[in-house]
Amino acid sequence: MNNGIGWAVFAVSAYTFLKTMEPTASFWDCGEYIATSYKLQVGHPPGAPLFQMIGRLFSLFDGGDVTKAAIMVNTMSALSSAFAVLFLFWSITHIAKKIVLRNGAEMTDAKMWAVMGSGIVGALAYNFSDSFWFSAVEGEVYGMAQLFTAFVFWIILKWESVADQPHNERWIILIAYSIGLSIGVHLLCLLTIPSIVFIYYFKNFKVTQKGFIITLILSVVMLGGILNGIIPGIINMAANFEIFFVNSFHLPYNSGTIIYFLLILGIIVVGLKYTHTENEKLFNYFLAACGVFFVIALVSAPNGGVGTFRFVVGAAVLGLLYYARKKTMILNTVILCFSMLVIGYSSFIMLVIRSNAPTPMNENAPKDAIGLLSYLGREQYGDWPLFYGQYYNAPLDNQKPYLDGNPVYMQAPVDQAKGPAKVEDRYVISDDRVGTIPNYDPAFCTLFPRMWNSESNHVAAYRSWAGIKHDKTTDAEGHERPVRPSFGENIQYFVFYQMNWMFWRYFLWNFSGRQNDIQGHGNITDGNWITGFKAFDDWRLDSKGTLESTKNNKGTNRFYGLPVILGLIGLFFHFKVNNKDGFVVLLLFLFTGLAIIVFLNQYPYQPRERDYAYAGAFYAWTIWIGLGVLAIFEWLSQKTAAKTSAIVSTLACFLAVPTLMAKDGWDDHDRSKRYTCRDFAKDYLDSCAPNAILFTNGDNDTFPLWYVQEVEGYRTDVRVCNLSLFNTDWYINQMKRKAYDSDPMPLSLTEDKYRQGTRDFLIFYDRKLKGSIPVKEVVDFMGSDEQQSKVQMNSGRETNYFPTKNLRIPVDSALVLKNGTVPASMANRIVHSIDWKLEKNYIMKNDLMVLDLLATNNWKRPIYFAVTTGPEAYMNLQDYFQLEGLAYRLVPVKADPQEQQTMGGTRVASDIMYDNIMKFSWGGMEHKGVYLDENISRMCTNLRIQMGTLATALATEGKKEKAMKVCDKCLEVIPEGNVPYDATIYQIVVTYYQLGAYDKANKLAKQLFDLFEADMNYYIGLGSKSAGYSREMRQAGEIMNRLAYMAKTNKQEPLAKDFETRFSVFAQMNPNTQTQ
Amino acid sequence: MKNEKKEGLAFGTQNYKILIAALLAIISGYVLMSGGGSESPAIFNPEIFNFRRITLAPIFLLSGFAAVMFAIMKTK
Repeated sequence: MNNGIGWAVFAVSAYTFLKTMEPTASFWDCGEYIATSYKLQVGHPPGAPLFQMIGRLFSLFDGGDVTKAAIMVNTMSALSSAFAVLFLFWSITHIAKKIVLRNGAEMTDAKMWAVMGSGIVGALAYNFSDSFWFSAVEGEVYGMAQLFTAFVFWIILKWESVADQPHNERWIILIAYSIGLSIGVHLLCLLTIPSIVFIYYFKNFKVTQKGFIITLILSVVMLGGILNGIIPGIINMAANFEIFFVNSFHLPYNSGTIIYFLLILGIIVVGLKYTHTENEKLFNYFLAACGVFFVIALVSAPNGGVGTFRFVVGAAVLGLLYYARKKTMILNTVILCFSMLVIGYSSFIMLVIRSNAPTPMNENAPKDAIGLLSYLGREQYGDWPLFYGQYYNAPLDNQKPYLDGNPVYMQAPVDQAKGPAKVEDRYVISDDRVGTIPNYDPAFCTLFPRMWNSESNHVAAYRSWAGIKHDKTTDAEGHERPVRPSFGENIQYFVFYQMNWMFWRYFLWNFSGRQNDIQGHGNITDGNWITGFKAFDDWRLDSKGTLESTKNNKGTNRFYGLPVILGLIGLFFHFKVNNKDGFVVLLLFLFTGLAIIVFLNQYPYQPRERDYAYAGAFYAWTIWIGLGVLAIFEWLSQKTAAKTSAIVSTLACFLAVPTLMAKDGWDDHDRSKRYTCRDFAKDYLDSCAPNAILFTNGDNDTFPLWYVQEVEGYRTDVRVCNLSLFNTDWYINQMKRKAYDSDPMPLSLTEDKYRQGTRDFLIFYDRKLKGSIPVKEVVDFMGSDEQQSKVQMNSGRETNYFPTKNLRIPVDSALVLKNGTVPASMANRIVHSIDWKLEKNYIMKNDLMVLDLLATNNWKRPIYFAVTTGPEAYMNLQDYFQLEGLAYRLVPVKADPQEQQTMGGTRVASDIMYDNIMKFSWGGMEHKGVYLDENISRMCTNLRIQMGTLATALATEGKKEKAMKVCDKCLEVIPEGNVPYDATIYQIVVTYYQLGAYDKANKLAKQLFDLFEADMNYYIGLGSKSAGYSREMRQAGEIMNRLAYMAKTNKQEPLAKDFETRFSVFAQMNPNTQTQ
Repeated sequence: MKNEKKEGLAFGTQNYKILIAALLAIISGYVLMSGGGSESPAIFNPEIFNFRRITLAPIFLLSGFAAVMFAIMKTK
């Protein structure tokens, strides 16, 4: 019965996810994961090689249709998630069975039914929970990560029932292997270790206070040891061995790595042999080999700190081994567990092999042990303090403002001057990292620092979350001095933001209710948790009703707190009847929830909601939801027949929890008709002329483009270049390689000029040069290694700099006409050269490379900037940009001020853009009932803005027919039902009036006016709290005012009168809303 | 040699044999996967995505990883 019902639950789960999954790639990392799976390429650190290989296996079933590869990877996620639900079911029934059989009670039919009921309700509650469901229907690693977690937790329960039988260690070894494998997917699974240790302890030992505390410490040490010791340590030591053997003994590359792994293999084989034969001589060999290993590890340690650490660990391990020499049974299990962990972990070799090929996508280029180490270390994501560190306003230490980082090594490059002769194999330092780590004034450091990020918008948010009033003061001389925040404020931030906002809020989304899918940063209208009881929610949020513009949000879920209540019942019941197991589940809940919060130490304004990271904790909670059924069953069976109780408790809970969650959650998880990620990516590429170079900046204007190019082979002539990655030497190298149909990017700087540690940024040092200097000359100067092109920094280092802000790109007018950069009709507008000012005081490596491209390309290939890259990226060249769709093209034509109509202040190439937009695909958003979450809605409204801009431009140029078509198209393909109207539709209204399409204009104007009027009334209803919405109120007022004005000037009398009357109410009430 | 003690250990000869076979499959997978790139940055080599490297190789690897699981759990 346990199996049968389990598989039935699996079937329901698989149906849910297969039915609701996205039929193509999804936003964020999914496009990258799918592309790197489909072709076994190297994605972003820390990598998911096992996920990729399994994804590849699934993609083989795409029937030869490249557009189906993504859905096969999504299927893998869906099935992984369904298996996680199956293991959850079996785990709950295992725990529940132990409860009903406690004190030697006998199993009865009724009890069995109740046990099954617990499993069904708990497992399906998880199945329909918000965060887990989200990851289950897209090509992300979280579904499979949860499967490993569920699997490992289930194995340890399984072990529990065979613990007294021979060979029971095999289950433990299987856990070690699974954990090793899971590293190739995601590290989530490791967080089950404390629970596993306690199950082992409870089973094998009599519980004492002392033993309990020791076990607790041991479990955390084990988790930390694997997470921070073994996983990076294995690679770290391999890298150290490699440099040591190659550099000290003049051996060829990779010999150190080979020696390292042979030594480990030898140790494992001899050790195992000893445990089987108990031959003392073998033990001596074993110990000696371990000794040799640790000695080399010690000598090759990169610095004294690491050396000392290795000495301590090495001595402890050798001591323990000697102490345990007679306990061959334990020794055998430990060696096997370690070996299996390493074998599982070995999937990372795939990344090294593919990086060496090299594949077109080769992020961080982990070509050898040294590269893999920095890959796993996720170095590009920066570092944050955990146990001890600075507050956000900490000044640098007076005596020693910067500390030295660990040097970065690379294989010695071929000396260009000496010709292509082979240089001796050895590693040299590419970046010494001297003086690169800020060292903060200890007076501004604290234990457990929570507010550490100094970015100005984060600082403002720290102040408001922690209620900080004074964090600076003025001294006697009038200088502003920072004041250290108090530890109480530190903890207030930890509790209010990190714990409450970034964990408990997500927990309650899943089990109580969710206000809407809009990302919340702490205000009362976006992304709060709710109960669904209106009066209570309004009271808690101090709000009245719902904002008009979020009223029909599909992300709204109301579970009335029922899953929380049932889970609480289960929790208390569990601790009452079996506190040991209760504690084990509690550990799982804490380590996959709040422990992650403590570890991540998040700053405010995260780029997206992070609930998906805590699906492990929600898993633990649904175990208690399941046990809640059992609690109700036991309580009922005291009053009525046992069988009736079993049926009633199961049915009632089934309806109140999983059914309710499914019913309300379905509409905001059903992605089955959504192709937005794929289609918008195509739209970006289709905005570009053939062989273009397209600069992008974020995740969502890059990963989807990689997906359509790499997997679907779409527009592979376009070179997509992500500007944030363009700061790294490995990415520049990739840009200089041919990829599919795209030729290498024309760049003149050679690798030695932009290697990590070289020209990472260049300061502006004014050489007072006259006139504008050709970019080519400036780039050559900045790339020069001559001493006269360098300037000495405060630190005494000599570094390159940029000598002038006045730059020039020469224009060959015959060429730009011939290759179509400028159409013949605009021939008379071609400038002789682009002379412009680069308004920056320092430039980063990516700016240098963009300048190099501008200099070297010489108008041969079209250069575009995606509209989503933002003004920072435009190098102040907007005057020479023209909008052609979702990208601006750089052209040698200067826009007149009255032509600068776009958001970025550029000209619109209206005819080109019209043709492009009419060919765009719309991702299914044009069909009724497609769910678009906030992230996608933002992209849709962006499209609306671009179409509005185009329509206005066309109308202004007198191309009335085209303008009308664009307006109509905009309403048709971005319909109100899927993407509610907001300020971004305003430009369409303007254009309709301009075109004299009064019926259409009036209808739209009225809808928009109604919307903003209702929103305004909501804000005003908030009373004093409305101050936080002054920007929104100003915008609402402005739009209402303008609509009234527009209706009037277009002689739409009745409407104008109506608007004016209604607007005057607000104009009197709040002078802020009046603008003109 | 105490026979019953040897019996108590998790792995017997058969487990080790399967394990070695699994490791061989994994190593073969990596060998099959290697290479394929183009020597010159100006030329793109589609061989990097051929059957051997991105289909056969991962099948070997995944069979190997699955066989390790079998090696661990196999009893006589």
